[in-house]
Amino acid sequence: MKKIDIFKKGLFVENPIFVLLLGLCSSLAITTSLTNAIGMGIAVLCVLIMSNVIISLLRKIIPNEIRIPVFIVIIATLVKCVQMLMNAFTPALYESLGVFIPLIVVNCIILGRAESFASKNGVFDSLLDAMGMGLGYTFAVLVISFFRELIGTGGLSLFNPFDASQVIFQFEVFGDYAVSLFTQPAGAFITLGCILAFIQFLKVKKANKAKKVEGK
Amino acid sequence: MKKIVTLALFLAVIAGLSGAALSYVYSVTDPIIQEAAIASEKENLVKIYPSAEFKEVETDTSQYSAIQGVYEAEGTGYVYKCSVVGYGGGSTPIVYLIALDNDGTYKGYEVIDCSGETSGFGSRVAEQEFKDKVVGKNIGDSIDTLSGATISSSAVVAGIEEATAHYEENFK
Repeated sequence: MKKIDIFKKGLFVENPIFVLLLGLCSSLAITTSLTNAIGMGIAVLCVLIMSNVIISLLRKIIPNEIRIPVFIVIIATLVKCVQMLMNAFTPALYESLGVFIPLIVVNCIILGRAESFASKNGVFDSLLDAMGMGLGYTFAVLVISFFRELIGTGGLSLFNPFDASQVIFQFEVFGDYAVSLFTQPAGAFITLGCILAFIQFLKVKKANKAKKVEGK
Repeated sequence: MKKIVTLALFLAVIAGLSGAALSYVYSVTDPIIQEAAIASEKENLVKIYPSAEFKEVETDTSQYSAIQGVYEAEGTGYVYKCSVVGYGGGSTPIVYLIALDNDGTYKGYEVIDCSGETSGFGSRVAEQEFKDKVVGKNIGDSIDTLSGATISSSAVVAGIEEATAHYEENFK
């Protein structure tokens, strides 16, 4: 597989949320605002990159029998580090993401990539894989939170994660007609369901097209 | 048998390394986190001691239900953050700061939140009239409650007494 393909597959073809349906718990819970989604996306990206690199470096010396506990210890350590760093440098984001930062430990994207990719491939490939998957996750939570924030609050806003008082942009489109259901968990399921249906629609359309070409 | 020992050792080494990494990150981030925690309190603390350096005091307050936090204003005194149940019930307690100065007086009293108290009655615990009853008194003196706002002001006084008891026990 070409290097660029390793990177690209996480973004679209094997997008962890939209295609593999991994790590849905956190992606449904934190996608109430764009700011949260970016913060969570970056946190997952950092943990994923570090865990994939470390596990790939250690893959030859980790005994096969205890690889899962070793992966978990490494991932838990990294998540705890990220959590402490976020608490220190992005306190507002830390408050609003709350329990979902420590829960990155049990996010199956990270263990999944460690088990299925990093433990079998070289360091550079693992790094590319982590970047692709991490950015794919970030992209997916951004898409979900875009729709949820827009429909749920009638506008969009983005704050600087390092300083909550610094507004990057904030505007309102239809404040009076906001459907607050979309800021609730049920809205997360509806949004994700619609997006998945749309992706399925594109896939079927593409498959039909391919069939037609073959038929001719 | 040998295999099990090797595996256990390997896992122990990994866990040890992760512990070391964590303690390093903790030592870097902890001071910043502590400072941030105090910073949110600081805008109220400086009303009492405008030019002091504040430090959160680690102390056992489990016997004192009203005390939420103790801050040392270096060299001058101690500020207690208290939360007591007034007329508004347990969900909206009265939260205030009381400063016990090293010169033996109540140096300052600032109400942070008394939104649960009845406006014009219990809310008077945040007003100058009550403040004058507290500030300047010697530590340990009895503080008069407010007639018309007995429940709220008694609760505040009880909290101040707890802070005093803690102060006498730990800092005298």
